[in-house]
Amino acid sequence: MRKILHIDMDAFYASVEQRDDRALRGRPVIVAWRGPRSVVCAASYEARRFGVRSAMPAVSAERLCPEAIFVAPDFSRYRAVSQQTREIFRRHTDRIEPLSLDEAYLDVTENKTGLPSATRVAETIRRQIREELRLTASAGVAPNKYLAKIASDWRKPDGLFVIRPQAAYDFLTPLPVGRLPGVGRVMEARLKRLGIATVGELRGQASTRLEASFGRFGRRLYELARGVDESEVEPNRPTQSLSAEDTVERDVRLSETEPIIRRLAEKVWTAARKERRRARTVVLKLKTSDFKLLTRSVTPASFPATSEELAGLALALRARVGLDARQRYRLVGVGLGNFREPEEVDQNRELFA
Amino acid sequence: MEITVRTTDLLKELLLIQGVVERKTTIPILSQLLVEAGGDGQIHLAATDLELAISTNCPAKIKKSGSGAVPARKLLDYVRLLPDADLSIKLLENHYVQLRCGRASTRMVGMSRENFPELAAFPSTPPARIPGAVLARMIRKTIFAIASEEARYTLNGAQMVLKPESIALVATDGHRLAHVADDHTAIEGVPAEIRCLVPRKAMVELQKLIDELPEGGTVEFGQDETNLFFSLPLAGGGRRVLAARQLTGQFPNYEAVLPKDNARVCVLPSEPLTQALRRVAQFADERSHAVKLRLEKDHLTLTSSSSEAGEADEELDTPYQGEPMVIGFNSQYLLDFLAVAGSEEVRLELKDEQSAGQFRPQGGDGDQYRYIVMPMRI
Repeated sequence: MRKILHIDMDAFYASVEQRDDRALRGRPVIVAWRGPRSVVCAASYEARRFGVRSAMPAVSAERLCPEAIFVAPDFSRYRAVSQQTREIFRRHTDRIEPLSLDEAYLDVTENKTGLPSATRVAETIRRQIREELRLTASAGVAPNKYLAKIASDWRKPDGLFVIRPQAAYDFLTPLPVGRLPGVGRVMEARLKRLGIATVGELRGQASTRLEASFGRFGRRLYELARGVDESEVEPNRPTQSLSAEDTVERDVRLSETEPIIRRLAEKVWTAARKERRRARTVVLKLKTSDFKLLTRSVTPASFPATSEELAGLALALRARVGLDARQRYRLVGVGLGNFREPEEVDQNRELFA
Repeated sequence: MEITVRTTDLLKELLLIQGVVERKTTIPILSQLLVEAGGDGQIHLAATDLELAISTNCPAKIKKSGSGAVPARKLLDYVRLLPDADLSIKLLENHYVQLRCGRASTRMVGMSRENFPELAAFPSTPPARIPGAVLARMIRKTIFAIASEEARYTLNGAQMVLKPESIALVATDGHRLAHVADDHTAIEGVPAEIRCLVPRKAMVELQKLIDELPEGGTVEFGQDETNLFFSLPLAGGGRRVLAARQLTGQFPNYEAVLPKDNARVCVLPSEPLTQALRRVAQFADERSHAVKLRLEKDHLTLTSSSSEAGEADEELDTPYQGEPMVIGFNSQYLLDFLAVAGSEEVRLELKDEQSAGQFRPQGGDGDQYRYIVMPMRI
């Protein structure tokens, strides 16, 4: 049986800001660029009480919490702190799979310090982060990655939760299916139409029925419902691509996709800022109402430097779709690919920096 | 409508207008050419892609006035194949258009002109009058620096500044900037100052139109809330008018990035520098086109290397007295400038390896021309 940790820093960027600026402590802090289309990168727990969430438009956040202090993100600092958390992880294991600057999976089936249990490792890591970095992290301990991730969220913030192998079944039974990885809003609605709202109800389904309804993902649902997830913790897995996509509630025409594309571009851009490497290729993905998938991509001479540029490039790709203007689409996605080391791309400097 | 035109006269106008005909047929009427015959011995032709519109005219014998929409591409392809002869064009029932030339005859499927977009008319306010040759020269010196990536929207055109005694054009793609000004030329009809963003595609089409202008010809410029208009007289009477939808948005504050203290200066002969750059660029990285410029006492060395192709270097003499330095540039950016600099020698003015370099013609045609290029990380 494997022992997997998921460590998730609490309100990471906002916490770093509060740590480094006494005046921000105890106050609602929102990390976001100022701008009409900007989205929240992080919100302190004080701000979350007002309903502010990451990835929501900064203007909405301001409306919810007018007294919030807006801080422009400083990713170089966040990256440096993230590096320090990795060093703490590395004292315990080399099998670390960072998901972003603020979360990582650790495989501690064997750990370097000889601590007797995964729970003790998680406690130690949390204590070291608190004492050395003066930040808090939540940890999930479980026999696989997806359960560890659900667990770290369970006692957030500053919490620890353990899902023991023998308890996984009962733990999962009452959970809404939306907690399972890969089950988004639309999938959740489809399951609901089949009378499946909880993981327990999902478990009641024959794998053949799930596969008939959902194809290969049906098989995955069957396993997830039983707490099975064989995916390995993969250290040093460099990001190949990043994307955000949205299945729309009502199929839209291409001409109506601009607000969706802008929102997705902002989201992808925020995620890409967490990468040291930079993406060269911009991808627009669309699924027609009759489930035909199409992608268009462009690799500009200089890689996109702002989220507006990313949005602009994705919007421009619409001209290359080439289907009838009346065609409707059920899914829109914006992606970045072809990540390169910054020094690999001998980049032309910007005139208007 | 029934008219007769000379095929060569018509072909010339069809070629000029073709650039704004929509090639993708998302909106079918935009692939059509509007043809109108009035009582003035001219047929009027117009096409638009909704961003740009060109209207022009062509002398004709008018038997019967009227108007219709004709597929622009098909008409061009057909007329191109006809000999220099009289061509009769006649509108038939159901938007058919009959063409007859000698023993050749065709019936083309046209469309109702009712669907053709309304074209904006040149404003009634007195126009600014710009010498065609000056405008063409300035377009040539800036157009290559306009961003071609659609994302950098406000950079997708050049800023034109007209004053009573000067004209200037500025274009940038965020990595380089071309600025050209002529303050020896009086621009009639400019009360104080006019600033506008001219879309790149309008500049391309305008260049073609100016090429057809007789020597010493003038371009009349006007604008309304949404469009810029350039009107050029035709030798046979009438005018060719280009209307371009104005780009909205803010042109970047370029004055702030113009270098002021680039003290490391060298002067180089344009042609040998161009040749050397072309050769060295053969071995530059295919995507970045990076070349290194190493300045040392009395000479400049160009070097390049690519993991696939190999490497190259070449040395040029220049009376340089400053500190030695190495700076990387996109060779294509430099060649773009050298192709239009219009002088025997060029000045290269640098500060350090991270700051923008400035290139200027030494002597030349009297334009105040400066080209600012950001270096590459090397």
